[in-house]
Amino acid sequence: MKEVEKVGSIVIVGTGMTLGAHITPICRSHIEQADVVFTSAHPMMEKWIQTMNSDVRTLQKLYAEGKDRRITYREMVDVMMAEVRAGKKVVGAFYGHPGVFAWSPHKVIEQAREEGYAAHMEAGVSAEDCLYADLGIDPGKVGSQNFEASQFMFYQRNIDPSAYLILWQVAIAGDKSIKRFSTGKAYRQLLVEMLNEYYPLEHKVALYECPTLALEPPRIDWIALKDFAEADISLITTMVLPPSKKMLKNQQILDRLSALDKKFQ
Amino acid sequence: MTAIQILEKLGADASFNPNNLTDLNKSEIIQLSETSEHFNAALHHSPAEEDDESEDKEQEAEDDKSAS
Ligand SMILES: C[S@@+](CC[C@H](N)C(=O)[O-])C[C@H]1O[C@@H](n2cnc3c(N)ncnc32)[C@H](O)[C@@H]1O
Repeated sequence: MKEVEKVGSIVIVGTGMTLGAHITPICRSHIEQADVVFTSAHPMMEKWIQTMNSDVRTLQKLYAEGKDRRITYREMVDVMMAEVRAGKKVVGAFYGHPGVFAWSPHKVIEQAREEGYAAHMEAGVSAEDCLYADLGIDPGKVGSQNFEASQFMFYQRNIDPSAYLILWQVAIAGDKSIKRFSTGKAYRQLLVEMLNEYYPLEHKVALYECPTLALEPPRIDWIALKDFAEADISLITTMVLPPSKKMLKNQQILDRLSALDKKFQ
Repeated sequence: MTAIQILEKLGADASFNPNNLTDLNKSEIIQLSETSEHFNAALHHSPAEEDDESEDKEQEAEDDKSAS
């Protein structure tokens, strides 16, 4: 017999990137019908969410410069779980797509399910979705790779310079402490050196920022890779590197496919 | 309309023209955004030493030990 689910529940929703523009009807409906809504989004976005429910609590106050973000993320899970355990219908509203480069939303769902509560995530519009539209990129054309900038630096990753490369959280690239709000030029210069193994220093890369308010256009700055360390970067900047090489044909497989075609056509 | 309602309409209504905003609308939006706090956009971490899973397993092992 299936165990009966406990009374509390949690749904994690995305607000999208631009206020008013991206929220899906189902995400909005969950927010409106929740007993309590926790938010982690731009303050203006949070003010907007406050118009949809009378009990909206920000998770942004859990951050502090010099505080290990792993603690902040665990605290986010803990405050949401406390209300789930109290039997409430809880919603966590995170900006963009709530499951894209976001630890706590996935963790709280895992934990709630482990404890026998109903929990699921609704998709949202992410920064990546917006950059495909604003930069006119189709990830299907040559493929697209995503890495968090620090992870790319800490581990030996193989990147394919014939596909797009999208680097997230470049403002804190190389922050081993997981405590800083920005690293700085010397750290970004090291990232440039690493990227220079695959891309020429003159290679044009885009610094992209999707607007939170529909009053402004997106930031799309095309700069040479070598100028990245000196560029103006914030916590919302995403770096996009178009391919520097053409795709190489896999002649061996093409020949084998031709042989199969002869046999089966 | 409140400043937030105007911002929502700007995002959601294709025929709503920001050029038609009154000076009062604009100053309310500016005032609202000036009272906004710092936004921390980071929600992800990549430990240099160990991954989430091993960290979680260590935690679980500790929990098991203290429970037994
Ligand atoms: C922790 S991730 C969260 C991503 C978010 N969940 C999403 O769906 O896009 C934070 C990173 O997302 C990217 N990002 C956040 N806001 C952005 C914006 N307004 N424009 C472009 N990229 C953004 C930046 O790379 C930033 O460092």
